[in-house]
Amino acid sequence: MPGRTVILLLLIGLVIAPAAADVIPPGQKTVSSCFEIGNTGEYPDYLFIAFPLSMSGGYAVMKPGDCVSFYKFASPSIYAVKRDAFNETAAGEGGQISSNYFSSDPGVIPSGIAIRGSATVAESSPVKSISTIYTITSVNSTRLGIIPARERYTYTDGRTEEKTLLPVETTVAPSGMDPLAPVLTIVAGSAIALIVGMRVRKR
Amino acid sequence: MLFTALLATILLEFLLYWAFTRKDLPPLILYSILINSFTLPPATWIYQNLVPDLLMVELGVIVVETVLIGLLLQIPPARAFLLSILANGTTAVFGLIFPFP
Repeated sequence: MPGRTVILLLLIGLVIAPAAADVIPPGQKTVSSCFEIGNTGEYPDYLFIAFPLSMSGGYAVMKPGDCVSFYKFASPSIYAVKRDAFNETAAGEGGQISSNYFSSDPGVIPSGIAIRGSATVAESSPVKSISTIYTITSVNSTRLGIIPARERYTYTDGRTEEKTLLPVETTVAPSGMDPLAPVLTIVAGSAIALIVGMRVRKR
Repeated sequence: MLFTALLATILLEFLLYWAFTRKDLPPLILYSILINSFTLPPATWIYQNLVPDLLMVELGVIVVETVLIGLLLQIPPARAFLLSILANGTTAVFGLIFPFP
């Protein structure tokens, strides 16, 4: 069995090496994070909805002062819907909603932003949690303009501090390649190549 | 994070492959590594970027894994389909109950 063991170890290494890039870097720790919209009150005709918040597609109607957390793999975006066009009863407040609603309903106005998951800080950092505060810059019938404007840090001793983020023109979802895509491609490609190779050898 | 999820999925599905087929352990863990390394990264990417619907993505994974399980474990398609449903159902429920930080 030594040949088989060597192949197995090589394969484990093949999987671990690239995937390890996704693990929290040495000397860093994960802190809780959430996001909120600071100026929803300036757009009383609209509801602002974050979706998806979980693997099963949960959503939240953003309210002033509410900081929304989400499952790390979810990568939600923010959508605007005319207040009188959103059928909250049919959708089920705080519950599940079909992704088709956000991708095909003509009343849904996309922002194109993609909010990423957990935040990491240095192991020695006194930061306990980070809230990102977004600001709506414009809403029209086809596009919701929204930017990350400030970050609020809560420290382990209970203090909070707010910092203004550098101004950005627009924040858009990655239209090109996801940074993780090459790693995923290598892992998946290697696996299927080995599967095919094994099948061919058996014949 | 993805690595932890991948490792947990490989181990869980390996246990189910073994419980279902009682074949030799080394090939089964090898098959679990290969199958999940092929399906989990693209499924995660598709869920994050294209289809934010867990059920649809899981159904796609079940179909693909049915083919791969049938080929590698050399079991009939119906049994491969059943094992794929069992394995992916278990890992999906496990992932929802214990989301990795």
